[in-house]
Amino acid sequence: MGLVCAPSHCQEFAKSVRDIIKEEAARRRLGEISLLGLESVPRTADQGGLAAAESDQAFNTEVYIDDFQHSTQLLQQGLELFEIGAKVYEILGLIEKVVKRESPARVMTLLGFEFNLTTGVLRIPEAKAQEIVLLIRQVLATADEGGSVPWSILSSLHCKLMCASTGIELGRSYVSAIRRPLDAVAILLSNRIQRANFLIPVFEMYELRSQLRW
Amino acid sequence: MADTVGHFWEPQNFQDLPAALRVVLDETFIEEEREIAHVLEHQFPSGAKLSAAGARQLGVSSDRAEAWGSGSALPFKSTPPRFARKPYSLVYTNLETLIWVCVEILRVVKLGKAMPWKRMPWILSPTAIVFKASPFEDDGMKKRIVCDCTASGVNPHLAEHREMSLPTILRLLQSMGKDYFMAKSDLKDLFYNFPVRQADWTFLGFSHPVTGQ
Repeated sequence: MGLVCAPSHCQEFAKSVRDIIKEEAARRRLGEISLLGLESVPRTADQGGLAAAESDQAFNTEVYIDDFQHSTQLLQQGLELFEIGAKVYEILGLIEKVVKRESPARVMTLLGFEFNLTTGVLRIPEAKAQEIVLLIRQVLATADEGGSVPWSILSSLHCKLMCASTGIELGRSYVSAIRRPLDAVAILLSNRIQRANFLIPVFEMYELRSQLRW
Repeated sequence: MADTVGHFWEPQNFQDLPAALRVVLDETFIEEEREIAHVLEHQFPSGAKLSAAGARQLGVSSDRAEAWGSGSALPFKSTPPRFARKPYSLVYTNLETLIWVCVEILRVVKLGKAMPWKRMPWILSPTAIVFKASPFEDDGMKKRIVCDCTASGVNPHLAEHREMSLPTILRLLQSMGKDYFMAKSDLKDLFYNFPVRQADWTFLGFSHPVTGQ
């Protein structure tokens, strides 16, 4: 809806849901009785389920607004945690987006990054990396020809680099040199058309160019 | 409630519009009728699915469960002045965009997350639409309507909210060990799941770009 209080409200709510899942998992590990409604999710201790976990570190659930991520030492624990989550959503009246459901695996894309828990490698997926590099090249080529780029294009590049920098060290200077000219005029541009039409003279921004080259 | 919930248009009012748009409007009318009947009978929208009883059953504190069930108050520090603005011009960029906006509003009405009002709400935020590439949508493009609550003055009158911290990629990684398994689940339309108390519905108005409802 565009309400400023909505994200924190959602995250607070999501954390409550996450805690219900984590507490149920902890109960199962300790052999305690499940909450009403959750006892229908089978306990699979003999196959390495949550009841067989040696410690709470064997499983975890984190949440990012509406995205729940379960991590477990063993496949069976992952399946059990997953089923607990599904049951909790059902009891609360929440609808899970089934097409986005991903069963336990060692390689997965989360928040735009590809995690490989066998090799320990965190990387930006190839297609996304190519998109960023292409955009950098376009901005540099335009600057070399003495041209300018629309505010919206430079903003897009900034957002992509910001996102990438949350997981992979890029050097923050990359982001700040791009941010400065965007910030300087952002308040004047109130709609999409203005943002697409306002040109930023990147050809005369030496710091931005040298940092993008680096 | 009967003085508030209802609609003031009929499909016949829009006979001259392109057929593709009329189809959407016809369906919107039927869905609005259904939603009006539901709200008048139950006093809450059909999309209010969050279960307070379920929350209590799962150990959620009673005050929080109560808020999930009956709706939370918007945290205003002062009442925003009356405001009404039509949808932004970008929703009228071309027929295709306009149909997307109408289809998205229809989706929200079908979900029971919006209801038609026959009187002007206190705040009518301007409507816009955002697009995002998504492999999970049939046409590869996610469309979402946005009500600009900053332009309408709702956001500036809300109390400062607590800083929140989202888990970073590195924190997620730290919580996982070598050779661990990851699983992922995602909730549908989470932002639409929080009931707002009835007294505050009037601050969340937006208008349909064709019917004006």
